[in-house]
Amino acid sequence: MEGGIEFGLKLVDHIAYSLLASAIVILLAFLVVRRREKGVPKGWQNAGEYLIEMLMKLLGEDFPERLLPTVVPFLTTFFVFILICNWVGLLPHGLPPTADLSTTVALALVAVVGFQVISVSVHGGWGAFKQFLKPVAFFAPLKIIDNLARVLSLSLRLFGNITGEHIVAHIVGLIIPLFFPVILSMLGLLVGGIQAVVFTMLAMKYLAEEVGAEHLREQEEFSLGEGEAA
Amino acid sequence: MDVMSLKLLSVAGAVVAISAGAVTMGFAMARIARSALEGMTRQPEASGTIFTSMLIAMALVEALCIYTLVVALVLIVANPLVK
Repeated sequence: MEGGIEFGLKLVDHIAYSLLASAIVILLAFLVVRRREKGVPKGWQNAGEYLIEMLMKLLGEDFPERLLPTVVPFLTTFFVFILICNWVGLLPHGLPPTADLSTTVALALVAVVGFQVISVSVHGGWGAFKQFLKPVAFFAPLKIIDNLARVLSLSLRLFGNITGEHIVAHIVGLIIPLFFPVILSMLGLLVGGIQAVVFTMLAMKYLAEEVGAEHLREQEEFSLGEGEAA
Repeated sequence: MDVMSLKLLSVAGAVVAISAGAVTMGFAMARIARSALEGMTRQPEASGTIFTSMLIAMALVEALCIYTLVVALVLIVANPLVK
């Protein structure tokens, strides 16, 4: 679909808005690390640390401790970028970059390739390959199809939700331009937030499955228990 | 078949697809929300984990409806039969 979907929308390029979203993300990151304090954080740094700590708590349930420094930045980046992309559409005449299929497919591809990269960094090349043959070699084609389906489902879910919300908001704004667009903007805020969370959570679950995080966690707990006994 | 009736049929197909998807997904999501709420009222201390699991389950179900939305959009906007 060249140039996105035209329902009488005045279309400006999605790429311009995704560049705007990237600029906002970089600005936010800059604000968070500008004045680093070791003690009690304030302002932007506090918000950033809150986000990271929340995600680390969430991920700590699934991943062993030594994987967290690899996994948390990977997933936090997805969360922040998708959130800002979704909310850029709420600006006047704004267009969410995630309402274009190219953006979401790119994000999903980065995620699925990233799973394999992290898997290689954890298990080594041969170990990551053997991860495909678990529990029996018969599962290898299924796992490859599984990875392709993940690209499809992650990208189409984000695209469909944001596009649908944007089109509905636009059409209602055409019919009743007085007060209803405000309510729909609030709905858009909610949908954007939830979809960012959902993308991150699903990426997290897929990643945990791909690197066999449950197994690694059990190993870690076992070795910790041995250390205490000795 | 002439182009006009093809267009009309595509629009009709899109409407049928999206309404069937919306109705069935409404039932499915209502079941998810009901059981999650029952779990939360029984164990309020576990409501955080139940809520995140509910969100994931709802996203997985909702994806099916989104597929019908995408098909409907393709039928209306980028129909391969109508050049």
